[in-house]
Amino acid sequence: MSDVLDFCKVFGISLDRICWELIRYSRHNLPTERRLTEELAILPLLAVELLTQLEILVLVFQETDVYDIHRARCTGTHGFRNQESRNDWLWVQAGSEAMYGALRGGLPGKLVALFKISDCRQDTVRRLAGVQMLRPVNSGRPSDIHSLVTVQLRDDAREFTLVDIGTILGMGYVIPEGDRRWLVNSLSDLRTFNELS
Amino acid sequence: MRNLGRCLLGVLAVALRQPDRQQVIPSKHAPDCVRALVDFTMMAQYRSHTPETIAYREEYLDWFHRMKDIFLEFRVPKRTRAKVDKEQKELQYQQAQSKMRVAPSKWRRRLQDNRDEKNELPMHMIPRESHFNFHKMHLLSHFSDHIRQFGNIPIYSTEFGELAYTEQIKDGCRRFNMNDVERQLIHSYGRQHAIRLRLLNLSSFSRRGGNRGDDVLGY
Repeated sequence: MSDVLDFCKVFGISLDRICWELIRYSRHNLPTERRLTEELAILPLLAVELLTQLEILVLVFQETDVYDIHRARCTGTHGFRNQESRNDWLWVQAGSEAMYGALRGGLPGKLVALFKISDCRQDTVRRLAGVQMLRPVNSGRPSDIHSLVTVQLRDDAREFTLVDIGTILGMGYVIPEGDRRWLVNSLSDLRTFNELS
Repeated sequence: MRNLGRCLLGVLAVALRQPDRQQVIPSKHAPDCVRALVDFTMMAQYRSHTPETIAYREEYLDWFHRMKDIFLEFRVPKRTRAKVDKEQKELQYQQAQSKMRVAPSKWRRRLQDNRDEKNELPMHMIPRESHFNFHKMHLLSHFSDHIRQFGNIPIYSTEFGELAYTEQIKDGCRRFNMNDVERQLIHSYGRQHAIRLRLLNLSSFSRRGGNRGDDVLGY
């Protein structure tokens, strides 16, 4: 893959959509002097390299120097090892700890694209992830019955949000509950259990 | 078992999310009970504890004991089940004996009553005869004392011994020619252990600023 245009073709995303997301990401996350160009003639020509795996170092619970490696995979529409495509769930830091109730600023999301975008004018490379973010139901309050938080797809119908890979905290574990709703599994590991329970 | 605990509650919550009218109360109590037990087991995996974490564990265990009766019907001993079967058969026999000529509507009502009586029989007997008095259930109550006396639970895990069996015996056996295999195993593992310890010492020494000696560490 060479540029944003090719990226759109591979993922079947409209060019306007990806350009808008890139501009939005740039405005919200980058300092003014380091922002991506907003010229729609240049933005699609930025060099893009598609990635399929992200290794996330997660500090083991109650340890100070031992890390687990979470390997999040994103094959887009392509199959994974002769089977259907694999787009893992992630845990993304989407706000401060006071937000989203029991989720404490983190939100689960589905990885839909993983890529590296280079801006040769500024000589910078950014590693970004396209994540289909979910939103907490009931302000992130755990259920009275099973004490798990329910999340659902956003109403604004945004296909994905671009986030810096630094905001990805680890693999997320959700259990499908019904139509466009999932339960956040806070018992997947000791760290998640300690933080969310 | 540990992995089962990680997904059990979520799966149960999804499975019981739309209960019918009779199942409303069990569908609330069952996840509550499972939640308490899973929380307890999660906290048992902590590698260090404070009085607060121990208190939390005890609280979860208390809650589990308070709610566990919801699963009592699945703890029926064989003896009780046989007793229930016997009494049901006796009841059926008695009901069959009372043959009286009655109107069809009355007959249908009586049939329904008989069926209800038969179904209610285990409901009375099972809570009376079933229990959770078995060793593994009792041992949970000693976890807190154990932690206070000896430290965290995972250091006494038998998993290490099981893994050591694979590493020391099974992998070792595959490498040898099976002549005097016990002696070969012991010597081989002793040598490997000594080398690993030596390498750890050297890397620790080099981390503290000593001469690294790449030729020594370059194994």
